[in-house]
Amino acid sequence: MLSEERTLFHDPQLCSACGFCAIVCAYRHYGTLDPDRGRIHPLLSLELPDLVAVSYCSHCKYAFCEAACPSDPKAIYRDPATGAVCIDPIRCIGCRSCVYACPVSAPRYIPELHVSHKCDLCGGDPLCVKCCPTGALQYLPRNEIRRLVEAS
Amino acid sequence: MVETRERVSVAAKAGVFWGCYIPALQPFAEAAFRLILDDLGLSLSDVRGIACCPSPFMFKILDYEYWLETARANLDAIASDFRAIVTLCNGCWDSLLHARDLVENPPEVLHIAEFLIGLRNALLKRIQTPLQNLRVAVHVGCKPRSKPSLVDAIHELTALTGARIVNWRTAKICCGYPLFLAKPDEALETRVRVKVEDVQQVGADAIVVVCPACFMLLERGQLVLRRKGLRQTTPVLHLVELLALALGHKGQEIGLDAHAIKPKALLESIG
Repeated sequence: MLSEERTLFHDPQLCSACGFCAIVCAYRHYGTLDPDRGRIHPLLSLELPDLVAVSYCSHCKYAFCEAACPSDPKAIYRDPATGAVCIDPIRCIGCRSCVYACPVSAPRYIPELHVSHKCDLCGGDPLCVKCCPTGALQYLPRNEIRRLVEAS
Repeated sequence: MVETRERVSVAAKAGVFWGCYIPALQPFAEAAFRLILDDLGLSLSDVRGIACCPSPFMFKILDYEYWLETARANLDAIASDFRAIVTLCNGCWDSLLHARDLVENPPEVLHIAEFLIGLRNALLKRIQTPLQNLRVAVHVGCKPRSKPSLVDAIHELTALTGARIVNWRTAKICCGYPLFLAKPDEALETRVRVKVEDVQQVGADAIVVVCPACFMLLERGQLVLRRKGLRQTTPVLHLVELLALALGHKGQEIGLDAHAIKPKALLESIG
């Protein structure tokens, strides 16, 4: 059931824009500390420092990125174990359709590798959540996320 | 002297985990805490025979399991001698706190503000130099934000000194320490410069922190930024230094003259 699947939840009130999520993500997936290689992106706006936005994949039930992927077979697929919407870098042709299709541009294009990449939930144990120093990032069931959003 | 029951429950079974930065780079924070303990008539033993906490930022990146296992080993060693452990560092507090679930009969892991807030009445009685002329910006750091009561304790202890706490827009923004590991220039420009200029705009005399990593970035970062157009610098104080000043200790006694940004004007305003 989709409601039992877990996904990322970010609390902008708790986030301090430390950027650690992007750094640990980049190191986990690419062995680099460059936060630009992370699959999660904190966005610090100095006009609204109280609300730090983070661009990350919500692993949508009806994923626009998956629908937009033109490669055959599709490079974007759903991991049945975690419900994560993932990109297979071997099948990806680097067309960036997923980047443009996603409402928050969660997939990012890597020019050097000529592929797009996005969050894969670290196989169901997201490191960014474990490492978040403020507890702003959580890995929660979708119905719990819905309840939190509605309560806020 | 602190009430007998309070002294026994706190001092006899508690130790101090100094961490790495404070003994090596910020001995004034250690001096200030020792002065506070002396004033309260408390004696806490130093924890010995332990490794680095280890640093939750660098070690979590490299190997999360290694970070947790080292923290567990530290807490295991501490558990044989102490019922509670006090840390002056957000990072040490975070590492040891995470390891509590992995240790049998773990000691209580107390952030310095959690420890001192339990002694608020004793501290209040001993305030000799209320710092009412001082306007301070409190930066609690990232990790205490996960525990609202700790954030409140940090503010309450700051207010207890008599200093006026200013509101500033970027109070919740990180000091830049984790980003500094990856992109030092970006961390200095988009975190340290932004925060320091904000503090200066609201007219604060000092930034008060509870973490040596925040202290290092916000203080040393200003020295680098001064070469890149930062017009003025603002002193950074550890919470225990502020408390020691309010308890009547002189700057030289604490070691404030060893700060990279000398809080000269601040000391003159205290008198």
